[in-house]
Amino acid sequence: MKLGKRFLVSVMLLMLLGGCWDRREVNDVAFVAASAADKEGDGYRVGVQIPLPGQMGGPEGGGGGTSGEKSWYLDSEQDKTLRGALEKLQQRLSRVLNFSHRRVIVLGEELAKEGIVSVIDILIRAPQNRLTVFPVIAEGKALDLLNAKAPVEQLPSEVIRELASLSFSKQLLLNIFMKDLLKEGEDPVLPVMKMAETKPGSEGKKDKTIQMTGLGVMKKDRLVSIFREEDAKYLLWLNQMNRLPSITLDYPEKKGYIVLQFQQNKVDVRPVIQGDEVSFRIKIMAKGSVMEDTTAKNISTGIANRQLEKDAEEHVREAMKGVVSQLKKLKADPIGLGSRVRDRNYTFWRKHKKDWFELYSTADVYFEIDFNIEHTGTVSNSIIRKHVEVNS
Amino acid sequence: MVYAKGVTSVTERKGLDKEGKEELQASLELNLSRNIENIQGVFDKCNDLIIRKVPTSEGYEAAVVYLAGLINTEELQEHTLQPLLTRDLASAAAVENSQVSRAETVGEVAEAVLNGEAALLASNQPYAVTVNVRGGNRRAVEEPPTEATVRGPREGFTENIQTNTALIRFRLKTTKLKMVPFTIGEETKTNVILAYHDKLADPEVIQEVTRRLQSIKIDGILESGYIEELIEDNPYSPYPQMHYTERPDTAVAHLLEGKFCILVDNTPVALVGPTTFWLLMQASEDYYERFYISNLLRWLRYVFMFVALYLPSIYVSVLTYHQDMVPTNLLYSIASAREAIPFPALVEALIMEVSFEALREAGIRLPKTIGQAVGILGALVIGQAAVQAGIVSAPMVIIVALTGIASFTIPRFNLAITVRMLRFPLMIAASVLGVYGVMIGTYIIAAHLCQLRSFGVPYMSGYAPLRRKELKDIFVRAPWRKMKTRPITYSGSAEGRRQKA
Repeated sequence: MKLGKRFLVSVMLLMLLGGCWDRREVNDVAFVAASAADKEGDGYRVGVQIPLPGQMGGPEGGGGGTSGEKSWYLDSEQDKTLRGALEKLQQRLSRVLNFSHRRVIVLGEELAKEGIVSVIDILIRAPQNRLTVFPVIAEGKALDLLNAKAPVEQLPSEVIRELASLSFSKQLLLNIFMKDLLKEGEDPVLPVMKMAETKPGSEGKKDKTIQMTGLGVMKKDRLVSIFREEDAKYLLWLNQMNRLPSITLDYPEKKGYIVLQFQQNKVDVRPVIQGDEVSFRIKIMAKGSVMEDTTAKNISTGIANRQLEKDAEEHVREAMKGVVSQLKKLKADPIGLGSRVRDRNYTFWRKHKKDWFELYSTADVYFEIDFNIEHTGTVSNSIIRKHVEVNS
Repeated sequence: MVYAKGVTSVTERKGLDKEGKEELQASLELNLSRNIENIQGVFDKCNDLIIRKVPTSEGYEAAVVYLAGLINTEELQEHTLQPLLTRDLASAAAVENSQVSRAETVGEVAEAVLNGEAALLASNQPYAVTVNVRGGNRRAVEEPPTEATVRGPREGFTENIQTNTALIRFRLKTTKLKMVPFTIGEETKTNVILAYHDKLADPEVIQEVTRRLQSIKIDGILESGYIEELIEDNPYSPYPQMHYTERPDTAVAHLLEGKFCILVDNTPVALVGPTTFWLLMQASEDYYERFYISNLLRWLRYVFMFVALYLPSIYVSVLTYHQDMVPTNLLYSIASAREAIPFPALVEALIMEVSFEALREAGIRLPKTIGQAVGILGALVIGQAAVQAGIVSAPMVIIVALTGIASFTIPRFNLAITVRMLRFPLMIAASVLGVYGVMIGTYIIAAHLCQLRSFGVPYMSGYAPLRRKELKDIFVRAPWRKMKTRPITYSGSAEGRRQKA
């Protein structure tokens, strides 16, 4: 019993020692949903987006000190360091900034071109920061992107996050970015977004929203080019980060197009090393289906199907060659050809590490593409073709 | 059945009375009127004592002494007094009753009369014959309301200990079922029976419980709870160390596992021991329904026991310290609900938990019709108005409601109360130290559970110390085909297969 009492007293003391020092109620904390970093002067402009819980459609009786109709609050400050800017921001914020729920970091184009490694440091140093945050590059100023109206989601940061995770087959989180950044012979890529206006017709009211514009190709931590549309698509395909890639084949003689979508695809990159020469063989295999057909072609027969596959292969080959030659010119390697060489033949890699990009820009890349169009959809024959037949 | 009338019980009764010893020690004399006077002297100012003089055919005078309401008058009339009118009192066999014995002193007569028997006295006889014609108005066998099942027998114990022993005997027809009588309580002289299976129960445990029962010194036992508290291993533990039941089938199931059962007169609640933590998480229906559903329900109960214990404290700790742990969107909705709440999370939680406990308590004591009104009031006042008024947040109401429901899934009321009680210190620990505090609390509880014993049997027995064969009836309920052996936790020996191999 005596022992029990002593034990009880020591537990009580333990409680007192702990105190409530770290106690923070939810309504004393400002959860940063997204932050933006831009180059300004010889320092940075840092913006934070904070959701306002009172405005987020809670139950009746909510509504603390909130402003206007927006469900979020955006503020920015300039300083030599990012931390300094945040401290300045804190001076006019009644709640403690908390970054543990940040999901998006928007980096300005200018900053990205100069290199983002200086920004990454603060993101990985403090334990409060999550590595499962989406780094995104904004065309123009990063801060502007957070000002979008975001009518679909509650916060612009949510739009950015959803877009960034929807556009790729795997999530390009900060930890993935850092892994690519630190990997020898591979450069990371980042999604690029910009502000766009909705087009609801002449009657509708235009809204500002966020649009995915392309893929930022980095050389180490510097943005060297933004691949848009087709280029971005094929680059993603090569990286196997494309979610259901689709291609459009043009048939001018038939005055129409065929759209194909590939459900299963496999990309196999193999370096071929001969002496001091290196070349690459990229094998692409995919199973696809016809999504749209505006030609009057008969694609249901075996020969026609094979022809369609050949056309698609040719189309993709040309496009991919274009992408690879652009990358060679940029001396950026987001596909990771260098790392493939390193994995295959380390002595060769060690020898040519210094002049790798010379070798890279002259290396030949061969494509072996094998498509298999399995489904032509629920209509085996083109309705347009039937229409032509009936009316002739 | 050797019931309270045996030789042993008579000797036990002697010496229990300290006051008026001489008066009670007085032997019965040949003079009937003197004897009656003596008895009346002992029962001074006892209005319910009835003494009837009976003229017999043989010409001598006889009297019957009993307490009003305790006996079955019809039986007394038909099987005792009727034959008396024609035959001699001297032969006890004259009385057509199975339970007859002799009383030599006034004290013995008083004892028997108080115990609900009728004493027959006759002139020229220096002894009395006591006849067991117990009766009186007792509750009939009903379905126990606290342990209702969908499937299973509907009989429950009653306040009459004889009915209770019979209910057990109906189910366990073996001479190995022993029923040892005790009389506990200086004033109440409550009949207590220790039942156990001679072959299955651990003799050391039986010896120990006998010793503990004999050492009870108290003036009154009104409910088995008195005995429970007086013979527990660790009376200051928040955890119950004895199981109780109102169901004879449950009692028999425990007897068959080598546990003992203590029946107490005047209460339908029988005690079962030794118990383990797992036992308190089991319901009799676990064994009556097919094992799939039993397992599912058992897991559900375990999950909700943790919910009942931890949910409020986890909520408090996460909201005051570890907001990082909440999924972002959930955090936003909790934050928006809490935006206007003036109290810290702990105070909010305490307000709700305490008012929930109060509501529950109010609901129990009130008659059923008013109880409903309390329910409506509680649901409206603390469920809705408090949220609308911005005193507590809606998520907190959900947490408390869930905790409340979870605590009701624990099949044993005594364990449910323990869990409900322990969540308050855990909540305070959570508010002071966060999840770390909850973990400290958990370790303290776990350490306590592991050192706790019930009649020498470790409380977590089966799991700690680990007995792999017994796990089949702890976290799961194995199909009956697979339950080949009895748990040795209670019986103390590997003796006894449930099924022939």
